[in-house]
Amino acid sequence: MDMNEKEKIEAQPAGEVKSELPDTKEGRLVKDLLERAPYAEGSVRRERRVEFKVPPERIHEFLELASEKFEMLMQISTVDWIKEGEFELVYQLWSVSESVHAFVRTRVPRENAKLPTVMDIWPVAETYEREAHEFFGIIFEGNPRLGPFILEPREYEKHPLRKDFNTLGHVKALYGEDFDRYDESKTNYVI
Amino acid sequence: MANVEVPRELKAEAKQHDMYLHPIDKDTYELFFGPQHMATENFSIILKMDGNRIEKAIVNPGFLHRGFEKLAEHRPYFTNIALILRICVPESDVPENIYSMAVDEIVGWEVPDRAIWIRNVVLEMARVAGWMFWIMGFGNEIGLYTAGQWAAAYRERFMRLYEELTGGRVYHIYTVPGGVRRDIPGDRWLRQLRDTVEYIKGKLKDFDEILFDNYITFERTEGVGVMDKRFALKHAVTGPNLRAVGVPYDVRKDDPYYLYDQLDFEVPVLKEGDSLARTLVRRYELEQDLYILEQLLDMGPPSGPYMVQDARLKALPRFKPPKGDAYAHVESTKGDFGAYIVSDGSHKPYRAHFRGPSQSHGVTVLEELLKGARIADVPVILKTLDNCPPDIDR
Amino acid sequence: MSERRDVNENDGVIHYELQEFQVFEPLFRWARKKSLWIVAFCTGCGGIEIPPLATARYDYERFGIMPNPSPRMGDLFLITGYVTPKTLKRIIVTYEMMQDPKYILTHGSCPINGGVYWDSYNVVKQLDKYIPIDVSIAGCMPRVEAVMDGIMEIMRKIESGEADGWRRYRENYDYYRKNQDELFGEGWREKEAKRWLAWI
Repeated sequence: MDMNEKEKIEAQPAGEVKSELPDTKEGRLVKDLLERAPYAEGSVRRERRVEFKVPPERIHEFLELASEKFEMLMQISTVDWIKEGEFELVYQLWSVSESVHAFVRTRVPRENAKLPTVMDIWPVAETYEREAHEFFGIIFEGNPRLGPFILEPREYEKHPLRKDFNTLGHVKALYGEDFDRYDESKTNYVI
Repeated sequence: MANVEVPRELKAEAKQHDMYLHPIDKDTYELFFGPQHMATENFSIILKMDGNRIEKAIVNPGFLHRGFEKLAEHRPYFTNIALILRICVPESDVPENIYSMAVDEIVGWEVPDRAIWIRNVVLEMARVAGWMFWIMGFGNEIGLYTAGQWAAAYRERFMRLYEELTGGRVYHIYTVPGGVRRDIPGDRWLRQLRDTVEYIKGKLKDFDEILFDNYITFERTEGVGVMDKRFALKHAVTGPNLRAVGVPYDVRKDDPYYLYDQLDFEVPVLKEGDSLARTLVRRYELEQDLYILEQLLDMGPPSGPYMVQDARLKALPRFKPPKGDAYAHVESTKGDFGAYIVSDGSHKPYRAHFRGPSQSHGVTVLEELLKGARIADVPVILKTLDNCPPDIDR
Repeated sequence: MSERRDVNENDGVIHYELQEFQVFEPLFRWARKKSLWIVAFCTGCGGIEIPPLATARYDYERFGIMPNPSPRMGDLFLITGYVTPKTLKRIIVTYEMMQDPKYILTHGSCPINGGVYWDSYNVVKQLDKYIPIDVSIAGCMPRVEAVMDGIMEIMRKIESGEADGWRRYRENYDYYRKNQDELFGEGWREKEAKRWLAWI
C-alpha cells in the first residue's frame, strides 16, 4: 500500500517535470523518448546527463527503444537498497551521436530478483549481467552463461556484494588465526 | 599436430582419466592459455584448438579479484583513494580521478583552477606513460624487443617526475575529492616535465622506424582480429579500439572534463578495424598527448589554492557528503573508464561501481576476435586490444 | 619420492648420484646464485615494476637474472603482490612443477598479512602457510631498489644455504597440503588442476 501511494505522489511531479524539460538537446532527447514510452519517467539532470525511471516489466521494451539513440551500454550498476528490500539496477547508456549519458533506473524486489536479459540488444550485456548475477544473485532470463565467472564457487554462492554479506565474518571464518589486523576489544575504529 | 598418431591404448587411458590435453579425436584439443604466460598478465583463456586454429575461446578472468567495491563500502571517502587506485595498475591516476570527480559532483564542490590544472597534467602524464608501457608490451609480443627496452626507459622519466610530485612511483594517492594532496614542487619540476615532453617528441621518429613503420609489425598485425563498426558499438568497445573502426568517440571531446574544452587536439580515426589500425591509432594519440601536455605547460598553472576550502574537511574521517549519486568517466589509454558512486549521506560510500574498459573489449569481444585466429595471433590480439585484466576483475 | 627423502634427510643438499660431488657444493651454490631464472608468472600488481627492473634503468640481467616462460627451467618464483585463492591454486601447481632447488621472493605487504586487502573476502592473508617463502619485501608498492635489495638478500641466502624453502616444502609437505586443502577443499587437485595439466 505504502509503495503504491508513494508512486502516485511521485507520478504527479513527474508529469510537471515533463513540461519543464529544458529546450536543449538533452531535453529534446528525453521528450522524444517519453512520447514513445509514456510508462517511463524522465528528467534532465545536468548537461549531458539524463535520467529515466522504468518499471522492471517494461525495461527490455524501453531499452530497445532507447538503443536507437543510445548506441552503447557502458555498464549495469546494481545497488542493494537493503532497507527497502530492493535492488536498483542502473543501466548506464551512452549516446555517441548526441554525446549524452543516460541512467535508466529500475527496481526489483531483493527476493528472487529476475529481469529479462538485454543481450539481444547489446551483446556486451552478457558480461555485465554475468557480473551482476555473480555479485548480487540477480537472474537475467535468457542469458546462457550465468554462473561462477570471476569468483570461485564458494564465494559465488554467497553473492559477496550484497549488503547482508559480512566480509569480515567471512574472512575470519576462512583465515582464522592469520587474521591479525582486527581487534574486537577496540571500539574506536573509524572503519 | 596433424600427423601425430596417438596410440589407441593411450587414447583410452586418457579418456578414462578425463585428460584433455592429448589430441582426443582428430586434431582438436583444449589449451589453457595463461595465467602463467607473459602476454596475458594474470588472465586465462581456454582455447579449443583445431590444429593451429582456434575454434572457440572462453575467457576465464578473476585472478585479480579483490572485491574493491565491497571494500570501498567499508572505508571512509578519503581513505578509499588509497584503495581504489589499485584497480588500474599501469594508470593508477585514472581511478583516482574518476572517483574524485564523482564525489566532487555529489558534494557540489567547485574544484579550484590550480587543482584542475594539476589533475589534468597528471592525467595526461599517465596517458603518455601508459602509451610507453603499451609500446613496451606490444614490442615484446611481436619480438621487437629494442622498442620495448626504449619505451620502458622513457617511461622511467615520467616515473621520476611522478615521484617528485606525489611521492610514489606507481601508486600516487594524489588526487583526492576537492583537489589534490600536494602542490607542484616548483618551477624546476615544470621545466623537467617540459624537457621530458621534448625528449619523447624527439624519440617518436625512432619509434616509427623501429616499430610503427616496420615490416614485421605490418606482417604480424595486418588483417588480424578485424572488427567492424556495428560490432564495436554493440559491444561497447571504447578508446583507441573504437577509433580504429571509424567512430570518433573520445570522452575528452564528447564529454569534456577539466580543461579539455579549452585545449586544441585531434582525435585520430582509422577505418580498417584490424590490429594494425589499432596500433597506428595509438601511435597518433601518443603524439596528440604530447601536444596536449605542451599546451598545458604553455598555459601554466593558475595561482590559487590546490584544495577546496571547506570547513567539513577539518574532520576528515567523518566527512559526510549529501545523498546522491554521480557517474564520472575519463579517457584512459585503454578506453572509457567510468565510476558510479552512490552516497546515502553517511561517511562511507553506499556503493562504488567501476566500469573498466576491458570489461567490454576483454571478454565478449576477445572471444569473438579469437575465433579462427592462429595461436601466434593471440598475444597480438590481446595486446592491440590493450586488455587490462584488473579492470575486469576489480 | 619418500625413499629419496630418507637418503638425504640430513645432508641438506640435493641428491647427487655420486656422494663425492658434495665437495663441489660451494661451487654449485655460487653458480645457482649467479644464474637465477625467473618464472614469468607475475601475479598481482607488483608485476608492473618488473619491466623497469628488466630494462635499461635498473637492468637485473647483470645479476644473471632472466625471465623464462617455462617453470621447468625456473629457479626463482616472484610473487609480486596479493594472491587470490584462484591464483594460489595456479601458483602451487606452478611451484610444484619447478625443479629443486627453487626459491620464492614475495613483493609487498599483501602476501605477508593481507596489506590493504586485510578484510577482503578474496585475498589470501598469510601466504607462508601455503607455500614456503624465502624472502619477503614489505611495503606497497616496493620500489625497484627494494626489489633489487631483496634479490641480493636471496642471493646471499643461497650462498649461505639459508634459502631452504624447497626443502621445507618437501619435509613439511603434509602441513602445507593440509593448509591448502583447508582453503580450497579436499580434492581440488583431482577436480580442477588435472584439467589444466593432465599429468598431475
